[in-house]
Amino acid sequence: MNQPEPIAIALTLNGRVLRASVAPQMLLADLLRDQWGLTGTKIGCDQATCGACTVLVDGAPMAACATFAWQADGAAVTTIEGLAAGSALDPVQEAFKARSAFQCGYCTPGMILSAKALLARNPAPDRAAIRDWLSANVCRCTGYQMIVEAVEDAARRLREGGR
Amino acid sequence: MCLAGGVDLVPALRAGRRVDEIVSLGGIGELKAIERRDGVLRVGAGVTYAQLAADRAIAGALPDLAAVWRGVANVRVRHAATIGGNLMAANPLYDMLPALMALDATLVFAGADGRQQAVPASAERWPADLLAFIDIPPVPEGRFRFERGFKPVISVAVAAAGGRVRAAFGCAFERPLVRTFAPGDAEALAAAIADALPEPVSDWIAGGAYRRKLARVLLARQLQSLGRP
Amino acid sequence: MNAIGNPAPRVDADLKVTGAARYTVDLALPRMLHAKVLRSSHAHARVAHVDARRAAAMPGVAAVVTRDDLGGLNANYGYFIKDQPIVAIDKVRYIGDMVAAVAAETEEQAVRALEAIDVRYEPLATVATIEQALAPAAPALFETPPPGIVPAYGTGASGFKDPAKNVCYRFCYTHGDAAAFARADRVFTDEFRFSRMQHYHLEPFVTLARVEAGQIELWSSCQNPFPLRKELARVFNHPEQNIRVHVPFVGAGYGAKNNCKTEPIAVLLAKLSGRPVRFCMTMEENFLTQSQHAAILRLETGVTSDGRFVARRSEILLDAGAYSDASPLVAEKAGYRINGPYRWEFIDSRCDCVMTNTTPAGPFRGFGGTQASWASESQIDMIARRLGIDPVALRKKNLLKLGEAYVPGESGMDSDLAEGLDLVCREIGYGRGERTKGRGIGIAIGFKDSGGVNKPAEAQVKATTTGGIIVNSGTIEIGQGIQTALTRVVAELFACPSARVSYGPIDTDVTPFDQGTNASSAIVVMGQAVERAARDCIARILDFAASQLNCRPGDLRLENWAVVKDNQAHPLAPMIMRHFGGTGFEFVGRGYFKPETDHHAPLEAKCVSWEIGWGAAEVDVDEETGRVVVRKLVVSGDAGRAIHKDACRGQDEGAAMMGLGQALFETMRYDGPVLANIAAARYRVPLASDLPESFRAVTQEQGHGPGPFGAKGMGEAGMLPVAAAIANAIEDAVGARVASLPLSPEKVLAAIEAKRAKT
Repeated sequence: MNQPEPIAIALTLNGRVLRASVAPQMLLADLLRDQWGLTGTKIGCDQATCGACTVLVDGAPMAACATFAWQADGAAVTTIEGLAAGSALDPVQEAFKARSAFQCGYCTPGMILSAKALLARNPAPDRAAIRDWLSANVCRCTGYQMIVEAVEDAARRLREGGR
Repeated sequence: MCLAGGVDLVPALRAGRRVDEIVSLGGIGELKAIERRDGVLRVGAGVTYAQLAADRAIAGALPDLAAVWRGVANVRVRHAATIGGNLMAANPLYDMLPALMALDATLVFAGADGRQQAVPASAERWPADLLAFIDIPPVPEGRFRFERGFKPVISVAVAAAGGRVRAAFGCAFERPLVRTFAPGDAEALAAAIADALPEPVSDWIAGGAYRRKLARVLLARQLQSLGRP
Repeated sequence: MNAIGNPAPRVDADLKVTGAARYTVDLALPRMLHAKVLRSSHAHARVAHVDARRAAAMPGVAAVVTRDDLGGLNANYGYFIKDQPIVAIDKVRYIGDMVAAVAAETEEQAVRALEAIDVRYEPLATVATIEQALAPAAPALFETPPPGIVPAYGTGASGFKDPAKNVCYRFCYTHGDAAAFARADRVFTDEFRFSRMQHYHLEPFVTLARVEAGQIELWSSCQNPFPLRKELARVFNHPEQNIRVHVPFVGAGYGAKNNCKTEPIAVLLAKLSGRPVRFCMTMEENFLTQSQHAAILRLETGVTSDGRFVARRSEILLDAGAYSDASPLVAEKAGYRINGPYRWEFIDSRCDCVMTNTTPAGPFRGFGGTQASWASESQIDMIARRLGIDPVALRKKNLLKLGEAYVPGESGMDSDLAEGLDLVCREIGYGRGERTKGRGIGIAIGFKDSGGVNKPAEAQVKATTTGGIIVNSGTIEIGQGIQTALTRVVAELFACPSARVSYGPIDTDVTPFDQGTNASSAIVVMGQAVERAARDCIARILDFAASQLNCRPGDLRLENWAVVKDNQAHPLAPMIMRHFGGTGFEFVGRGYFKPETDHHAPLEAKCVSWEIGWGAAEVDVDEETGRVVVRKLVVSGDAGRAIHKDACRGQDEGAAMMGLGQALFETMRYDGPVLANIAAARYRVPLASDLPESFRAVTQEQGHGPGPFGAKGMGEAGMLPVAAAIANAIEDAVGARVASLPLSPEKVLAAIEAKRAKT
């Protein structure tokens, strides 16, 4: 069986241009976690269903476990590690922290990025819009209500002058 | 093997399916367009769910389709998955095919030689070519309704055009079924059509008898709803 | 109070919202190998032949394990009964049973090697349900009963190993006189069926193991590292002091991550290969490793016509799956809790663990109490309607009072049950407003003991020269917020800011003993140990300060790392350095807690606490389709004293949504012994879109708990009442009763039609 040729890719990761040579079958999740050591992106179901591996690709939430690394070539990728600026948390992170909108924390990076993508498109979502958008991310611990409230809080923080 | 959104292909590859070559369709602009010509809506197979749900032409002509499509799958899938991918997956639980069958849509396939072949969405067999466009004929006053709230037990799509009503049933059979009939009393029609359906699938999701009952109740409600603006 | 109830964020917040929190799944060691296991495709078969020689020779493969590699080991593990082999030896007993394991340089190489392992099976007849397993001609999963124990029980309780074919354990509890049934005006016998869910913890089962120079070291996503260490010592004939278990943050468990899961295979492959081995399961494999117990519960209940509870006889059958796992312990609790927080003259409960060729069932949030509350709280409503008594009034008539013993010899209720019932009735609007067609309200009281059984815990609190406090406790941070709770307790006692207290890592070499993070026991058991450790540490500090200040310790008070005497504060740091030198010192305190052993108590020790989950639901039922929409869901738990209010609320809401999923749709669908909806794409779990329009948990602080500052355990109660509350609401709405879960539209419609046919 032929070994497939590696593909050279370049993508902007959390604001920095990074290059890599990836096997065609390499997943974005594995590139992030294993090759680049960014373990904030979690693998849950590994079947593109649970959303734990959500990253933003050109602002759109995508499942890193179901995206080939080469599909991110030329794109701007944001992982959870890219949100905080030094020790200053992003307003969405601040809201999740202040509201304890997490428990075991495993779904939290994906959930926060998903919320970020929502608020970038819809700065004042109502509860129905938040629930609908976040139904892309499974949380088994919190029961979602406190997460919805944190997103409302984050929306308010952003409108009042956060980043 | 063609790759558009990859929502079905990538998991299949990860589950062990082997392919020699992947051709990405992402760069083909014509497949991502939605156009309206002489009342016919031509949707490119590469249009994503999100695009379809947000498109003005769709919202104007088929508001129920746009509204329902905003809720299909989840936001992640909606930004990646394409209408063409939904159809080509041939998954009895997927929603585009029953909707298009009710709408009496035509699927346009493009061959390697440049030839295009059009078949009704409800056709038994489709050409083994690249699905390029979906043509949806006009539906006056947007009289199309799609009830998918009872999935994966059953989904029901109805459309009224040219003096006929078409009702398509998804999830409950190996492949979606469509029935065409003259308009009339909603309850009577629903009872007759549901009664005459072949035996719905009985599986771990639901029993066939229950699926038939739902077909009748939901079809009656849809037909009644069609009568209202 | 400064730290207790302070709304400041949880101590793990920054780590979790930035993605910096590390879980076992994120860890790697140099030269690490990847393990994969070969699983049986047969539900029940003899293993005639296993040959892994071809696999061992494949590229990248460093070690292979089959039954031929178990020499010198005690190859079976378990709780009471040691029946589960590291890999299959004579038989496979469910689809997914592990048959062989491979460690290779890459996961892909390991998977390819599995394909090269030859296994020949001789299929046997299968039993996929409780009924099939108990049928006279059913094949036995274990022809020879595996070794095991029956623990000592106190008054009224008894246990039996292998009482019948395919029944690995039976628990019985009785008190009172069976003649009490004669005093009942009415006797109602009803049967309830409880479904089976998978835990669906997002972090999978995962272990990273290293065996070097006689030292076994592992990192595991595990809820009970100390019992795990003991079990590994027994399995591997390895000295316990040379086994070291680390547990970082755990990405949830809900009970699944107890005892051996990935550990034995990881350790064995590490031993054989001489390299670290990572064994990480996929979510699909999680479904083939552990599940909740499905159950059939038959309740024969005698009451007076004015609604006094007199006698109950219960027969509970738990579907234990293919290996006993924690089933005997779940049977104890299902059989013990079935009567709910009510007064009875006579109780006779029997709970059997039935073996079937399906995924082994084990601890799952509620631990028998979920099954028991479903049945008991459903039947109470049914009895109320049959007697023409309001369901809430019927409950109130029989509820135990605050302080009243659960049963003779047992501890008393540490919550006012009627108070909680009134609360949820108010929140849901019980008895108010016009009746709307198809709409109904249902109430239920979920019930369990909390604190474990006879459970010991030890803790250590250290204070540094400059007043940094470190808590060493074996309770795992699994999402419940225990790091926050325990450090707040210590901060309160030290009268210092919470930010000065940190929670140490969990390492069985240095962390004091804890039996396990389970049973909603952390704050009431470990909490008491931590409180004692803090007080011990403070006593030593005050002793030291007193000797420096030439006074008695009783003259001194600790505040903000200074001792206060006669309203004058003496900072401790300079005092310490003056005495010990510039390098300073540390003060160490230890604390221990265990309830007293008591042979009069049915479970050999009085229960430390009682966890009550009051629940209320308002539903709309579509009578043509059977579809149920939960418009409003309220649950309430009594935290005793809420050390962190949001953490308490989160536990109840998370538990309640789990209960909602079980009530309406979530279930493992078995088609014979085949799991039809294995893993994520086909297994529906609650999503944000499943939230009821109105949903909240109200945390009570009644203040009667045994934990620090009156705290009580939380985490399970929120789930217990939900299914019954919804089933009761459906009956209230349309007069139809569904007695089996899930309350699918199909079943609800069938119940509606059956009722219509009768009238």
